[in-house]
Amino acid sequence: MYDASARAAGVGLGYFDGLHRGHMELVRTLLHRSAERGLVPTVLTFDRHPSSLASTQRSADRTTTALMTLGEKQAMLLDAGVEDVVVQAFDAEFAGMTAERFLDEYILERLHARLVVVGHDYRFGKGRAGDARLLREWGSRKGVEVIVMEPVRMGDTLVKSTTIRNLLAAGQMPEAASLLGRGYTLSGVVVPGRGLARRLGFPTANFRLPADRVLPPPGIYRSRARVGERTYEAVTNLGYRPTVEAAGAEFLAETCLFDADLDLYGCTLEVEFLEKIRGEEKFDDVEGLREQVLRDIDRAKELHRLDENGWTLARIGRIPVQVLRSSRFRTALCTVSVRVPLERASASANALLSRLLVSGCARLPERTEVATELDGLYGAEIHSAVEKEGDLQVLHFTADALARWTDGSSPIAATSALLFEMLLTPAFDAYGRYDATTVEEERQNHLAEIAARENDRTRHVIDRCTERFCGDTPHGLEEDGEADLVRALDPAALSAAYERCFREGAVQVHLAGAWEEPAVSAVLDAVRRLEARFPGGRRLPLHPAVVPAPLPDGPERRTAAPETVLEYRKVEQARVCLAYSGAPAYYSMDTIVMTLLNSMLGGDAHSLLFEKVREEEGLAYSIFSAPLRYQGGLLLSAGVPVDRTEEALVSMRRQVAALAADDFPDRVFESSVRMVESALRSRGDDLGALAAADQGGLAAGRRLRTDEGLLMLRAVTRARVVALAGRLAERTCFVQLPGEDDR
Amino acid sequence: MSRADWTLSTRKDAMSGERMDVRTHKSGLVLLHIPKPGFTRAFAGFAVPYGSVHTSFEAGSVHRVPDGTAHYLEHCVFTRDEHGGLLSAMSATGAHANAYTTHTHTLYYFTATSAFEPAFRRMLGAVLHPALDRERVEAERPIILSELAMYRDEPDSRCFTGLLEGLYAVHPVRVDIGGTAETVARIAAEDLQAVHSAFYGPSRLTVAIVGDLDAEALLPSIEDALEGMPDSPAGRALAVDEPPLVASARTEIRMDVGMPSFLIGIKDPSAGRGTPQSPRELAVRRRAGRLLFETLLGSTSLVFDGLYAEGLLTDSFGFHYLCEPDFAFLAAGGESPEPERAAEELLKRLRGAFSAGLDARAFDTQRKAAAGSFLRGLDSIEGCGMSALHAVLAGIDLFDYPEIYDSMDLESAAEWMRFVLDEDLDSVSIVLPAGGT
Repeated sequence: MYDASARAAGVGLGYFDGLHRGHMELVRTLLHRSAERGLVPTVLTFDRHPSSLASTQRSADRTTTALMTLGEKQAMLLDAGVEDVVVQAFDAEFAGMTAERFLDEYILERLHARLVVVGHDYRFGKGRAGDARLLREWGSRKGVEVIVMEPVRMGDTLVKSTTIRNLLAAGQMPEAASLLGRGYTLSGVVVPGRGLARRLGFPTANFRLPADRVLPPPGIYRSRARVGERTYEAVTNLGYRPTVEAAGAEFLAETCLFDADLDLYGCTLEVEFLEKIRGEEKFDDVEGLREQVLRDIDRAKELHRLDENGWTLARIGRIPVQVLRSSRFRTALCTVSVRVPLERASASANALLSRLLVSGCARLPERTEVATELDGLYGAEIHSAVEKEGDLQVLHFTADALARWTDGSSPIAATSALLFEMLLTPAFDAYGRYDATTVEEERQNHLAEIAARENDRTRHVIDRCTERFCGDTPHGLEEDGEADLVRALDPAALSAAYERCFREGAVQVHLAGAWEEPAVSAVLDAVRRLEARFPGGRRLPLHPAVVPAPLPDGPERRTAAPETVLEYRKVEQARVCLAYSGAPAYYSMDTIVMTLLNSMLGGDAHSLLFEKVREEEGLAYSIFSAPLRYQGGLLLSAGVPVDRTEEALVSMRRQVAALAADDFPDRVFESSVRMVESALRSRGDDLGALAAADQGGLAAGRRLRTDEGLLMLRAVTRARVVALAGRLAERTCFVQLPGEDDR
Repeated sequence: MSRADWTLSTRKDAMSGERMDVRTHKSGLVLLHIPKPGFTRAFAGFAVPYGSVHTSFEAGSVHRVPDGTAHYLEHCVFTRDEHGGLLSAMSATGAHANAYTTHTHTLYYFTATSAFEPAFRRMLGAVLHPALDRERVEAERPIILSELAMYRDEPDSRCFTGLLEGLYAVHPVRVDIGGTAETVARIAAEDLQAVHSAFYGPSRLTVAIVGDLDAEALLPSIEDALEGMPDSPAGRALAVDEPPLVASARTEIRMDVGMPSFLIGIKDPSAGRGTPQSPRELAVRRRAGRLLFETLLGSTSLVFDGLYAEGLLTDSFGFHYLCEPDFAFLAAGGESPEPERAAEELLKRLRGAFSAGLDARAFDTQRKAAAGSFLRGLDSIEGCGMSALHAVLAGIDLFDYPEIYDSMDLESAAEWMRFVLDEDLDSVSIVLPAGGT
């Protein structure tokens, strides 16, 4: 049953029903730490809930009804990046084993664990005698690292499987989804119904409900239904159909898919239950039922229209297509993102390629032709941008245009079509290469941009400081490449980069704004062509906590003395930048604590840096702090008078120390809570920000609705901010001073 | 006070479907409201028609204040009020506040998702009743000097100031908006008080609010803030007698840069001379210039494409036609590995393209793009508010723009912009790496 390989493992222990936000925090911590230590990330779970054999069954239902099947759990763990999922039969013999024996025999000998990660309330061994304290003590004796996860809260609610089961049983779907981290889904094979719904004018796809799963109460639900590669907005009736069936009828899910006319018999349908619209009712006649169902459909459509959260519209081969619909904006966006490993050797080619791709295509090889076409689409834009996410390089290609013009035309549909045309049919010659002149033009422009980085002093100092902070890791590389390497690129290298990026990179498409049919289907067709153009190959698998990798921050680094770097340039003002490690990893639910800490320290106008260093001490005009999201760090930056540089550094460090010492006025914390809340709410009023936040959430493996962000914020206490500030450690101090250029 | 002190007019834009309510108080204060149902965030902006160039003005008597006074006043209003720190107070309500000063106006604004009224009341109070005592004015001085030092290290800022010094001989537009270390050292509390009483009175103030708001509910806050305001004479900026020709044809700046940069400028001598133009005429001229230069220098133009292909221009290239009652000019440039040649070729090819005749179809395409861009701009809460205030500062109304674009024709635009052909009206500003030859 156990993998007897001798490779040392990092082991996560638990039943993990539902793999909710708390479980995923544990799993990602396991993945992250295992990757840092070169251990095989392994989960040891059980075939049934441990309480099923307990003498006092506190919750009988959970032994028979679960949030997910064992198969779904295994699939989701493997999908998250866990390499081994070990399922232990939880039988009487196993249950009778002492805690110590379980650890020695199972964890150490069979799994070769060097790391164990458990939840704060995890109990194990006979009589549930084993707990975190015992585990820690055992770990220190055996040389096994033990991580005990803090509980995860959404607002005042502790994230627990039992709570989720109760919420689902009460039909509180959004509340359950907040704790689960995704909508609750049930799936089944579509069976023929009586055809009544079709005769009434709204055909449904029906499946029998699994007996071993938690079921929401009978009623009408706004839902989404996935069939094959595509997901549709839908409405689902869950229940016994009392108007048309006799008592004792089977409990069925009947789903009416919008914008779809499909024959679904025999297909597997996966239904996500978003919110309950009403309970199941018995009508006097079929006509009464029909009228009510029509009202339900209208209501569900209206609720879908008002839902401005992102969801997965389709998976075309290996390319997910995400959508975030909103009808409040005139603008709509279509972004194609390609993620590849950030490597010195390839970054320059990829960055230059991203420029070349949006400069023309086979049909419109000249830049001016593209510009004219876009201007004619009422000032539409297509642009590329290169970013980095930890150790990944991300190429974004975005079409940005009006969703509709007054004549009924759809500039975004035409602009997206042009974007895909650029990606699918670049302006290559017969040999599949860009001509040398075009490459040279874009190369010069790219080189100029690289050289000009230094013209922005603040950015330059932050970049240099971050580079030193990251040491010898891909995290410190420039995402848009290096001048020497850009100069060496030839057309063949760019063609190779094109093939590599689209064949091996993780490609994602994100639509935002008032996207409607037929524009949506046209994008899906274009994605199909893109996937077909690059068959085979193995796309980079994205596993938040591992890919992208957080910046390694092992004990060696944590104990090293901070470094000070001086740079001399012909400038009038000194610029200082301090980089601290110790921030939560980008995937963690604790990043909200960092957001709040940053607001208090230097992110807003009431912050300590602004109030103390700028306003009270007059040491700077430009002064701020900013999280280094993928590097697990925090930056402090300021432009200061040359003769007060040391004074400014001392004062800036003092503000970090004040946070760690819990020595700051309450109003600083309270104002930050309001400012972060306001920023979260505001995001919804800016389509670009909404789309960026959704994409950021996907990269971190945790898509958050605005209300969920607010719940997380509510769970942040002053004490959590103080504790985080206490973990911050200065790593790099970068100072640019006036003087003879020292390059 | 009562609702009778206000008059209300409403306008709806046919193209966008947006509505704007304009309420005018008997004191002259104007409140614009663009409703945005379904939006959480709301914006408030307070526009004062006083900018860095208004160093000489008449308000009962003639005043002359040092360069940088408008910006200094913005700092004092924005960061301090009689209750202490305005910014802290705004943060405490969850409002994000900011302010900026241009050559011709000063704008204070904030956005909030809740507690809009207290934030509005607080900011309006600060704008109308700032604490301008000596101690607070002194406290702001090192921060402003630090800001000026920061801009002196920024190549773009230095290049632009260099261009204006080359274009203008005496007009205060030639001095940086923040002033210089020397002028900032001279600014006294009395200068700020004089400016405030001349230009920050209700009759000069325009307020815009955008969002899902009840404008009527805000009127008491405004009335309270206006209560007991002294009846100061409204200030009037004095015109400057700027000679038509440029001050110098070339300005060279040496500083530590990774990539050199340049700007060409061509002075439009029509500003401030001849028949004074109405605000609307000025707005039409401004927009006509922008469309025309988009046609001549934009990404679809042969001028840009040729220079880009030769490696003389990069994506950083930009251009702007600024047209105010007493100064107007075209500025264009960006980073370039060969700034001297880029400037020379840009001037030559711009004039060549202008002389060769303009393409009516390209002009129409730009009109289309501008209409789309106007519509897209309305998606943004801040964008709406800012555009509405800029329109009022320019003497028009936000929803005049579609009509202005419609009414524009290439022939008039070309006639107005003919000044670009005059070789005596250009100046070039170049930033080169320090230590080079």
